Amino acid sequence: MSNSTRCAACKSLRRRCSKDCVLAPYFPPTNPQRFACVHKIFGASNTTKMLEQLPLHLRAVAVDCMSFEASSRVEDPVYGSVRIISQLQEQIIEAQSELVKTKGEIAFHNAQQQQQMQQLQMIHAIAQEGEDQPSWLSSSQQDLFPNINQQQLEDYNYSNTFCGFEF
Amino acid sequence: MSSSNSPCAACKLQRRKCTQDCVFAPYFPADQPQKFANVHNVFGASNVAKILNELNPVQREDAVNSLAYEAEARLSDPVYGCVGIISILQYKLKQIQISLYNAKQELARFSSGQAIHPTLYSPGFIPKLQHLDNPSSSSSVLPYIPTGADTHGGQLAIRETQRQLHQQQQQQQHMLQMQQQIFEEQKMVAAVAAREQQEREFVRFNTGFDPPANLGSINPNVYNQRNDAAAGMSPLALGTFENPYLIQTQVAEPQHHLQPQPPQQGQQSQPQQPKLESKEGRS
Repeated sequence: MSNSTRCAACKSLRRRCSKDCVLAPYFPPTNPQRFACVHKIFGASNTTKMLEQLPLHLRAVAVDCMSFEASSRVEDPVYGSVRIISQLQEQIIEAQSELVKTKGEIAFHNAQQQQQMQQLQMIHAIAQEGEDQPSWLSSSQQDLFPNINQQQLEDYNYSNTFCGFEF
Repeated sequence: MSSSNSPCAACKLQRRKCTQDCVFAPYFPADQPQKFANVHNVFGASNVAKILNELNPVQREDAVNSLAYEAEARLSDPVYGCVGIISILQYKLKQIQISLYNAKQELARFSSGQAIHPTLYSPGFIPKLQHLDNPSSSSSVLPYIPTGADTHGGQLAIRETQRQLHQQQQQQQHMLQMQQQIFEEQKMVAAVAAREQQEREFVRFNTGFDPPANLGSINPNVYNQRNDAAAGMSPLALGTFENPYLIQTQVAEPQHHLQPQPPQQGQQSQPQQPKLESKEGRS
């Protein structure tokens, strides 16, 4: 086999690239840097050993992942791709705590709304009862607020009670 | 520190003498043989030694721990390794972010009634979230594309997805900050509207007639006066009202609004102002 058809792995290792070279399909000669990273971190023999343990249809994916891990390790020799994992974990924790906080606020607003609805229903029920009450009772109510008709009294109670929960 | 009697896990596995300047000894104690075995299987002892020799002694422990983590991940998942963990975490993060976005939308409905600010529907943001609702469309989640022979494209896809993730996170943080500002403004607007309603009811109670709609626009002055004592504005600070809420533009000149009113309403509005003021004092 001529030098021009050797894969990047065999070219880097300066060996003959056979037809059944395990690494040839995944390390084309057009991208020598890819194999250089993988070789530096994992080593050619470890890479070959790991690929031989996998079925053919999964080897390309495995090489892509190993190439990603190797290039991350070359860029960051201390943490490599583990840095991305810890950053993601921190972001998940932050997002989860914010989600819990937001859901708490929603629950608070829901409870507030329900309370307001219950108060409104009570007011309406009281107003309804007021219409059904005997005249001596409604007239005593009017004595408490002279010069004010029943509609104004209901409006006042409505606004006072409803808006009282706003602040 | 290992002595000749107790070799470190690395020298024990390699069946060699563990010297005092053994680079592995501080980080691979004899009681953790599996740690070095995993690292040796995946990376190889010589490669690990080369990596450690290039680092400062202070950084070596973290490097060894991260290498051990990667090796364990690679052995438990020979195809994806650490990249599989990254994909899972990315997916989980995006699911949480979608839930957070929906929760904030729901919270905004409480603040503003049914109004939702248009920026919540920015086209650059929503399509990505909608796209993630479909779990089968995993190409945007996994950081690689299994193309087989096209390995160069796979590597680029990984880096591109990393950049996209970073951009998305920055964009989402910016959007969340804007949303928070909008929610606060909407809460204040809703509070002002509720206060207006209350004042209208007070006026109706006092005078026995419904005030015109623009008379209710005076009320934010009163509201602001109560909430900004330092402003020194009178309850009906007509003409000097400062509108902090860009949405309500009708309250700029309340006195000006009174003048074009029909005569009967205008005449009745004049004597009512002291009553409104006294009512404000009482309440």
